Amino acid sequence: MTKELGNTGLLVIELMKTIKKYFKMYFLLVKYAAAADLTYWQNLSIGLLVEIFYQVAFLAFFAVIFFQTKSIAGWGPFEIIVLLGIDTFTSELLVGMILVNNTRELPNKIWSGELDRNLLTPVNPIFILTFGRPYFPSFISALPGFFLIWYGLVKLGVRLTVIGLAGSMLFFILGFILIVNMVLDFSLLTFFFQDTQTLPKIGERIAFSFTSRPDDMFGGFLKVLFFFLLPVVYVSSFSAKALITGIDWKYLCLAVLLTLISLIFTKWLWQKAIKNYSSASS
Amino acid sequence: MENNHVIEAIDLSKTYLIRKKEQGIVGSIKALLKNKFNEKEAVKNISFTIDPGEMIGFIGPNGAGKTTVLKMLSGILFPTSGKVKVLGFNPSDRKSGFLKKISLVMGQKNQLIWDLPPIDTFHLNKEIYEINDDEFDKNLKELIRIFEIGDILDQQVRQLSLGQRMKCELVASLLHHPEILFLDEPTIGLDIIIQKKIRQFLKIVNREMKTTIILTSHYMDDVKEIAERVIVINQGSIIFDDALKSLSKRFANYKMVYLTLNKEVPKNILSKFGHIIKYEYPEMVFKVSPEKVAETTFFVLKNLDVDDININEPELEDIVRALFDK
Ligand SMILES: Nc1ncnc2c1ncn2[C@@H]1O[C@H](COP(=O)(O)OP(=O)(O)O)[C@@H](O)[C@H]1O
Ligand SMILES: [Mg+2]
Repeated sequence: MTKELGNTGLLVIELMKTIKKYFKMYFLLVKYAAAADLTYWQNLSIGLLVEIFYQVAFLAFFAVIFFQTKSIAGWGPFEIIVLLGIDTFTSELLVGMILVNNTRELPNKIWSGELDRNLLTPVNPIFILTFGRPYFPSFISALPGFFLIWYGLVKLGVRLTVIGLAGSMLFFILGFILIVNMVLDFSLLTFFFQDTQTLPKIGERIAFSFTSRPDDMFGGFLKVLFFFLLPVVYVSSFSAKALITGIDWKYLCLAVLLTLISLIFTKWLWQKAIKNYSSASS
Repeated sequence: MENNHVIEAIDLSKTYLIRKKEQGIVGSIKALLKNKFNEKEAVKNISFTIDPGEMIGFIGPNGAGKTTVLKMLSGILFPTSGKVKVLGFNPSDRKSGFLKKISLVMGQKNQLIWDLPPIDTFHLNKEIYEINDDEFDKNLKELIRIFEIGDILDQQVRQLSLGQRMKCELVASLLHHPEILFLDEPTIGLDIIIQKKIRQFLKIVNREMKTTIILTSHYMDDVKEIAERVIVINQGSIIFDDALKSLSKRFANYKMVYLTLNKEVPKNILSKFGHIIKYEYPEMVFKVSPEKVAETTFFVLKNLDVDDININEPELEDIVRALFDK
């Protein structure tokens, strides 16, 4: 009994150490990405401008829609603004943490042999492939998201509660993990289909096109698709709802379950992929 | 099993399955479904053992299978068959305990962060390999001394020369004091002087840090200067595995005669003495068996108008080339 407890204790300490190691590593990676980008501040400013342009264009698109109609799938303009604020985070963090230099680059890494090196560092290779090279400008351009959320909430007259905030963050984190796994899974298919840059892009497209949509828009087959198979609705839509109207516990449980499944699936896919891997000939 | 080898390979083979390439994503889906493969036997049933502290050169022509062997030893590739143990581990499991004890450097492939000074990569490796502060400081200091990179630590990697980058690359891969260092063509593309330097550094690393070093190359110079033992590999098989010295003893049963002529002669005039390797007037090179050297020299001096004559041991380069040609 005491021995059992001792083991669990050790395990927890081990786990904490590992988590600390990865956080420390990630902090360094972001710091270096920032430093590298700052040496090319022209690039940084252009990158920022591009990201902000996207956001403005996107907002304008919704503004146009609200000229025509009072609500989208039951969501009024200020609810949509909260949603878009959260989605600014989602998409910018997705771009900055995952896409630009990582999952999108997987085919190149396989082709160039860089993956070999990743495999030989004593760090989880999935971590490196997913987070190894952050793209810094997106971390900055995620920030206006705060303003949108704040503005939307004020206009709606919502009073934030600790529970609502916690629920929203939980939805965001789970939803984000789900999206990352989805994007990563599409990238991993590169191992089986070799050529093309297409596969990583498919995952990205799905993420970008649908995370910003209110979940109530989807019914029938689309509901099955975007709630279960390509679970894009949790990260922005459900975390917005958690802030505005409260936590939907049923879907929170579902999100937890799906997250577990997707983590397991990704791991399985990775193992298949790497078994198939024959390195680049050099 | 009594075992103080750091590496033990038994009947190791690697066959690449090359999926027949078709254009586009539809094509590749088709290819995937059809499961059509070409096979390429890159490494065939090789066996060898390596002891701690050894410095070994794997040599062989392009496509011989050197890189494939290193990839199996370091754990990048699963062997198709056979057994391999490195430091008691099965490399392709890629256990972190194993990965922390080895390093692989591939010439021209960079691990340094391109836009930042090398010192930043070193710090990142500190986290990756979980090196504690004292050890890191000690190792870094030692390596800066050995590789003479004190003055370039803070320069952006992209501004360094190829040679400087290779030095930093090696430092980055040695910070965690690996027990085995695998080097795949480490001097490729470097100029002669830097090549020489790198070899000297590696010798120091081997001597002072007791690192087992296994290097592949198709430059004989690499091997000649640093490896005490060579493994010659050709078309996936080991054709020689012994001390460097016995390579020439075993295979070089001839001498090289270098002539500079004053007057052109027919090519076949010396063919009864030995095999002509090169004849581009006024230079002529041919090999003769040791017992015919005197006779040949006599004939040459008597019958040809020579400006210069030299008789030498064959170059290792030539020995190896002769081996491959068989
Ligand atoms: N990833 C790969 N896929 C298919 N064939 C490969 C691959 N890597 C190497 N080969 C083939 O295997 C043989 C051995 O290659 P390699 O080990 O790179 O030789 P070396 O390093 O001695 O030049 C070559 O014929 C090469 O074309
Ligand atoms: Mg090679």
